[in-house]
Amino acid sequence: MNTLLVQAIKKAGQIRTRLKLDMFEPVNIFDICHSFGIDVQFVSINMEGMYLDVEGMEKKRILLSNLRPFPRRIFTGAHELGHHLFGHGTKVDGLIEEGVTNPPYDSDEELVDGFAGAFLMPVAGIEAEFTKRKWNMKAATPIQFFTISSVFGVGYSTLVTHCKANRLITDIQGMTLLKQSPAKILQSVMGEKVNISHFKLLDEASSLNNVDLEVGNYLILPSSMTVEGTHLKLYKKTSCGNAFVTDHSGVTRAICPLTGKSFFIRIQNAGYIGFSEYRHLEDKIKML
Amino acid sequence: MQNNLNDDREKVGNRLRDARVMAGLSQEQAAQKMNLNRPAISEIESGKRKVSAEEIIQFSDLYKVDKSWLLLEEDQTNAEFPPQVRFAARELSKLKPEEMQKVIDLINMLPKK
Repeated sequence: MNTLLVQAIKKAGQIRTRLKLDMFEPVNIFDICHSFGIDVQFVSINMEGMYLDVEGMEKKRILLSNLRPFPRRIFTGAHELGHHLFGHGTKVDGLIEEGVTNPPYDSDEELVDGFAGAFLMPVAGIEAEFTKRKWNMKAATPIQFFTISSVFGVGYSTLVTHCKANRLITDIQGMTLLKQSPAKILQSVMGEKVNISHFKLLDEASSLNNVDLEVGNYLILPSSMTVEGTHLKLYKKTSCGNAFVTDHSGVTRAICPLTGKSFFIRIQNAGYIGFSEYRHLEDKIKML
Repeated sequence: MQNNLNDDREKVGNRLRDARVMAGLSQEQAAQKMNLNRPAISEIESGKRKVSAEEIIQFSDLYKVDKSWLLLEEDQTNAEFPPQVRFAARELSKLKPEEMQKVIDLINMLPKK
């Protein structure tokens, strides 16, 4: 195994241990950065992200571009946290154009990409999520992979690529899965053409503390779950559950009255600019 | 003399508004966190109301910007490469010039030790 990847996986494990997280549970990268005393700020700058470690500065800061897709900001956040943890100093991650698969990487970038993948999507956690649903990963459908990507809060393609790189699935299966885009999966779940937006698909087996979304995103929940407040509007009933669309920013809760299982749904404005800790403040107050 | 004071107050107000927007807060939210009413924030940002030293400290904590930057004491916005970012120039060169300038402006706002 590539020594950089080994180093990255070890660091991800050490950080999970330090934060008293097990090797299975999904993490929220912005909350993790906060726990390290790093400010995360979303900015309107055409890049991927940046880790700022400037001499004389009170605190370290991670900048993430609000111009990049929502799940990509999660991965970039973990990538920038990697720069902090490996002591790389200020790092700017320029724009990676869509469709460019092999940007010129140096070893630092490879290391922190490995860290981001291992930290956000631990192999043990991925395997456990498939196992508890009695899904065979080697024959899993795009919708099943999409569900697991929703659990870990990462993009569908990111999860498939990660599984391929870690030999959890074959190259051929990976290529087949990557032919399906999230937009196509959304359309197949909805059974009709809908406005394309980021979406998360959660099922009865999904066990989470928080689900983060932007205004205008979709959330598909098991029909046994109800949603509190007015932050989400029922869009339609689908074969995978009830599809909601997020209406305004704030924090609400989804609960299953039968089992008592619940999680928080935290919604930020689309293209939000600002610090991560203010991102879920109520929209209604914001609009006054 | 009075005109200069008014100009400075307006400039400080502009910086407070920029910092608030960059922090992701509405005037209402900032007012709540500062224990002020919303019109007070509006008046401060338009330069119509004086800001006390205590309020500058509170604003700099809330918006995570440097007090000296808010008070126009370290105006380096025209400098192409302020000292803090010189070392990072190689990294910043990955960005287009207009994006690089946005980062430099942001670095100038960062709270210092």
